Amino acid sequence: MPCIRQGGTNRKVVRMVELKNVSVHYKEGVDALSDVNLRIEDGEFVFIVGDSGAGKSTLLKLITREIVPTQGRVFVNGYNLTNIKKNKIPYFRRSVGMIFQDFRLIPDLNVYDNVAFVMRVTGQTKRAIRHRVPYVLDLVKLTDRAKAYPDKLSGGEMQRVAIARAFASDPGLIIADEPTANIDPALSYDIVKLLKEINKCGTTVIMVTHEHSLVEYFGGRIISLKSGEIVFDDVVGGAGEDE
Amino acid sequence: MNNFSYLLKQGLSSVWKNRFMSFASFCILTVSLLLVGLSAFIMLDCGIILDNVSDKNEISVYMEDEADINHIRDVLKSNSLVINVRYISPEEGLQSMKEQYKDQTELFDSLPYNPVPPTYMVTINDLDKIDMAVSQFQAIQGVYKVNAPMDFASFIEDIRNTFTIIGIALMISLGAVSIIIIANTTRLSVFARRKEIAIMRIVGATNSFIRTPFFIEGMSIGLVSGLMSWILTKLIYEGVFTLFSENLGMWSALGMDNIIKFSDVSIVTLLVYCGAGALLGAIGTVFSMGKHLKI
Repeated sequence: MPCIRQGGTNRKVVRMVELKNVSVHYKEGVDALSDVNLRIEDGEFVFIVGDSGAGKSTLLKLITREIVPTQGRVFVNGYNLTNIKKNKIPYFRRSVGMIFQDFRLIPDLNVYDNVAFVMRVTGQTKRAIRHRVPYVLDLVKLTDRAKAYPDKLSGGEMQRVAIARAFASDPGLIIADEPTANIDPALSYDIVKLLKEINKCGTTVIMVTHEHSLVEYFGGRIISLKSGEIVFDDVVGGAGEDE
Repeated sequence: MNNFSYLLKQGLSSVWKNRFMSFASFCILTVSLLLVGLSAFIMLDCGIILDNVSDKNEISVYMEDEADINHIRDVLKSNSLVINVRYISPEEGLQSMKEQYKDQTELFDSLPYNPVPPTYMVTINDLDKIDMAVSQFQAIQGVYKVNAPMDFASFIEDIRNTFTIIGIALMISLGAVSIIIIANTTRLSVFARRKEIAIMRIVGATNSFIRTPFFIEGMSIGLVSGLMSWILTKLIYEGVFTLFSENLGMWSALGMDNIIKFSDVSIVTLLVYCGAGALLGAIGTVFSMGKHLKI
């Protein structure tokens, strides 16, 4: 399927995500991240792996500006998140698409409206919504399920809706937080393939996962966290890399 | 505009989804506005009646038929409290009564003699000393009776003061209750939509975008309550007004013929009621802005 970009996001950014000497200490005395340096370029597909408590969630919260670092600086898609003004945060978030393991679909909206919802809340025109939503639904192969409500969808379908929603406003960066955790393992590969498709359109994708089999299968850049530190950051070949 | 119609739809659909609490808010707000509004009308009417009474603030000095009216006039004029003295002959007095009680003219025509005594209408310069003036006038030889309108005026003044206090007390207490009820209604809506709000925050909705439907919800309940309380006020006030009009002769003597006609102020009242309702709705919504609505 050809990539149709909306052109609404800043495509000139080279440094999509950059963390400089970032540390996060929680009040409870937990050191979630310690002096982390990380750079993800525009257009990359990155797996972030690590055990529970390794710092993956904290890293995602930093990238979505849910928290600020205790120390260091965070840049995402051209925004300096360390000192971004509060009223600019919504505009920054529009440049990032989020996918969650629990899908977070709105139960009383059908598939079409769940996807259109993102565009509505960001003030896009009806015309833009009418053009974009069918395209992304086609991309995730859910055109025939457009009128179905979330309670009638399988886990895999719900996650594809979530992916369509994340991609609907054409963000520069998509963050997928364990997107395959709550779906049939056989479907996990399809989800990652879908994210790879989106990545081929130029969108940077960061995927956090526990599933080593997926990482080994697809390969690519892998960042491994352990006790708040990056212990591995390299590109590895995958068993099904060429698919 | 596209966004506004979407937000409007969201706000109004929240009213329906939350209909039991919305109805409770509507009832409380309607009763609050109605009671405060009626108190305000009574206050204003009392003010008008007091003004009328003050305009007619003349002391009537009735004289005996054989009294030396020139002497009494001189005595009255020499009193330092008196600023004006106006004579009304028994014929003028009777004519004036006939005009006042037009529907009972036969009664006056059938009288064998004119019962109205010669009268001086006396205006004094200091209303606080009216009791002193009355007793001084009463002491003049040839004076039959002295009438001062101040008993009625002080009665009306008491009513006005009472309704001012009641009005203010109602405004504060019912206003607070209305705000609390609206705040709770909105809080329930916010809670019911918390997942949606969380998604809105993640995808980059602005604070105003997230909050506007809740303001629309609170304000629309306020507006409808304003409209309903306006209808009820109109019915009640016009009902009472009709009662007064049927006995206009009696009431006009008491200075009540000039009280506010609802039709003269209906548009202003509607705007004030709806504006007050919407404002209470908006304030209630502000109080309900909890953690779910923060970025």
